[in-house]
Amino acid sequence: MPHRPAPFRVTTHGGPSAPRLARAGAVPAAVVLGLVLAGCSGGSPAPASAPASSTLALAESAEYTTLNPLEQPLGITGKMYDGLVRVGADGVLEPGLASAMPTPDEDLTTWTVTLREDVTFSDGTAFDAQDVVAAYTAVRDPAYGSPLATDYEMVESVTAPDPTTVVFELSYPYAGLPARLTLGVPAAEALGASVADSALASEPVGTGPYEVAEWRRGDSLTLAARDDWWGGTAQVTTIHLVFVPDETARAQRVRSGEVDGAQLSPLTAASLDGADGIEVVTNPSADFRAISLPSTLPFFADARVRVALNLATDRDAMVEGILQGDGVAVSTPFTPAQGDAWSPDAAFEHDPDGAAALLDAAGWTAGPGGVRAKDGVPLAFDLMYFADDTLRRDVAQAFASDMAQVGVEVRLEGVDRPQAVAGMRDKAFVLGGGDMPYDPDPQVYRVLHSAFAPYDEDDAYSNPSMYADPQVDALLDTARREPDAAARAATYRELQARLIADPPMVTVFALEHTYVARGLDAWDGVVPVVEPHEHGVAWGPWWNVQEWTAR
Amino acid sequence: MTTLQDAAPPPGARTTGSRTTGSRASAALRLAGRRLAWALPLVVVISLAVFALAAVSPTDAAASFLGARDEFAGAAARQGVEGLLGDRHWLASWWEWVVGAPGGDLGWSTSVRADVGAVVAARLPWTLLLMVLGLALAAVLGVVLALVAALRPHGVLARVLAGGLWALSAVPSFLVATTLMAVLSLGLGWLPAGGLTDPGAPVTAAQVGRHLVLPVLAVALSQLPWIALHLHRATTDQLRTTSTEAARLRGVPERRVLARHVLPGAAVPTLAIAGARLPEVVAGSVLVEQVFGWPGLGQGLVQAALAQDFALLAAATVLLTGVALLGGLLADLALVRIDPRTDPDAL
Repeated sequence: MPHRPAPFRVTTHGGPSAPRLARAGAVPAAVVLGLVLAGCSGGSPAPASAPASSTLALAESAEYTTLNPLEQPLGITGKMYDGLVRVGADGVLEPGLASAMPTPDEDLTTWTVTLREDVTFSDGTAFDAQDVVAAYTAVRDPAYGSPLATDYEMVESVTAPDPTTVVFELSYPYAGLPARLTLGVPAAEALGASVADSALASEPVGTGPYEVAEWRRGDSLTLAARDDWWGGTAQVTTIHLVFVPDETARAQRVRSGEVDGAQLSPLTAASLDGADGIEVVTNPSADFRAISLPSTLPFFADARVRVALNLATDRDAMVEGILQGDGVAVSTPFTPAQGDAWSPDAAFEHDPDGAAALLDAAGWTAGPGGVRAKDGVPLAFDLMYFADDTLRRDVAQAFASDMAQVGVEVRLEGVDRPQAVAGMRDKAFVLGGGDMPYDPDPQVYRVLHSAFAPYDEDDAYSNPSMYADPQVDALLDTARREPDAAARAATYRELQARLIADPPMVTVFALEHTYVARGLDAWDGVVPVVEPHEHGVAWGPWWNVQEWTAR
Repeated sequence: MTTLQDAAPPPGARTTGSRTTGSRASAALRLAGRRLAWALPLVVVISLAVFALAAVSPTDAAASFLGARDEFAGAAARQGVEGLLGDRHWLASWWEWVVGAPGGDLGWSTSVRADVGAVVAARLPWTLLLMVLGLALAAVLGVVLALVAALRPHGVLARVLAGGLWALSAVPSFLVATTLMAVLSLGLGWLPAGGLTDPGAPVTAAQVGRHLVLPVLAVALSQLPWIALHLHRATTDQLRTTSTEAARLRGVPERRVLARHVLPGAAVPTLAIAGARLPEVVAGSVLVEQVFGWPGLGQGLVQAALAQDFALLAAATVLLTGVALLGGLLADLALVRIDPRTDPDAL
């Protein structure tokens, strides 16, 4: 990728003077007056006395609904908050507010965390163990309404024996806890009664590297580096995040130099690569897409049919055609992001002839109209996808076309969320996954375990195939209780072999998230990371912007 | 004209200029009062309808509240969110809203997690700025185009204009907006593609002015056809009236004839229609705001509707209704002012 380096736009800035949202009402009147009196001749004032500072402007695809870390983990809230544990380069977990990685007892039910001592919140108050206890109490409290509540159901109690120690007591042994300790910790007093009315939604009080300087509703969010962050003051001192829902407009605003980067689809990103110092940056993720195969449908009771559908799926063509190559074909919910726990061998080849033979052997033979049937039942089913999600639509179409090749009829149905939930019992669905890729357990447990098999309209997306395999259950439960990392990874690899023999669904690929950026050459410390399902410009090359140093 | 009317008052005639300026003014006041009195029950009915429609709409409030996390929330978390949002009857929610609203308590928005009053205060002014400037521009362009076309009724320009305007009137406003963006911003790079200011720039007249051009143009272009076409029709009629001919025969310069005789007459039917079209202008600017990322109330309205955010939805709808009502009233008052034949009491 040849490109010439373009330095970040460096502006002199009078420092964050923290005007928050409320005053916006008076502004338009002043603007009208200004337009009338001064015409359009007014210039933007540029206070020149302050020291130079580096400013980054990024285009985000949607405005944030909330900045509460108990509602919106990782991503944008990671700029204002730290967790006990944080995500490091290549997605490796490292200590954040903890002075060392959390240590478990022998049976993984008691985890002890020692805290850093030099930490203050953005409102100037000191951080201590009570703030951690309050955060983890609130996130588990149904009345607080955190969408993450389910993720902490293994936690029985959180206590602070002293101001720098926190102890997590679990109701069952759980090896994956460190990944769950990435939760951002707000000041206890700022939590509020629930996510719906907490002031944290718009006024963060965190220990993180940045604080909110201004939030212009519907337009932009400006972050300013804190000069008292425990990690040292960031050299990129100001980050402007402008909300640009339209992808073409985002691309244009990067090209024109108005912003330094944006998240774009692989196709649009490729069209900008190399133009005016713009480079395409991709980060791996465990963000997979899969087609559920509901066990309520008669033909999916037979594992041979599920294997055949997997063999008939041309994953490489989907990665090339739909993702422009920015992704990895995978055959189970495990992805390369799971590191040692990933088994590259547990994969289906594209083998439509083998699929046809397997279907014949299972008794599903060619019937009228080219659709296979057995005992008068056609091998035909409905496949739902979120109608507003073009990526899932493309996956659904490619899958249906692959299935048609082997005489399986897939009827596509674009749905909204209530329809998806209602239809999940007896219709296939294009599932998304990978919201917590930093440990294998959250990546796969709810997708595969039979405890989530019974259809529940409050939990329709967990195990949408209603898949139950005692061997898979046993391996999942063994792995989450295994203290030894190598043994744990081996158990997960064994599990993947089982998932090839008795596939719960047709997993097609894991995405690489694509971004365009300019000016990265001016900085040291730009390194890749593994991204979760939800992403935006808080990720991409900018995920650790607080640690960059000027070259 | 005034002296003529004062000298010969036709007794009892309601529709001619029988009234003195004073009584016309008080009649105009009565008109305003009547409209405002009507507005109150209308607002009540509209807010009631908003709550009822939102309640029966198929959108899932908890799923909207969870957003992208919906797929990963799990049963316990979803039940927690459902508990927060509550399953109160929509009538109870409406009643709470209606009781609080007059005191300024517009409630709490679940979709943006903020006080509705603050959201409205931050956003409504930007919507008003966009609509007022858009309509003003449309009116100015409309007058010019209508006059040009009317003066040369068989000229090529007139035909092209009429054809173009009819075509334009069939184009929805969001398409006008995206086309403008594609050409003037993405294609030629003359103007910013959206937002209120450049990233991080202070909110100054110069900044906002530059970012206002495309949205205002989009609103203006989508409103221009009906203004220009109605004006054109009315102007053509006015040009042929005996009073216009008489003025010409007296040697009044053409420019003066247009300004004093033709335009005021032609404005009357156009203004009358303007009042009726205003709600559509409001709806159109909602889409324009979406396209250009303009931080107005329209964007908030769309968000609120998708999220079953009763409080914000009701406030936004009622306010935009209020804008439409007020606009209609202003159009009628202008009519009363321009056309002495208009009877304020009959409007």
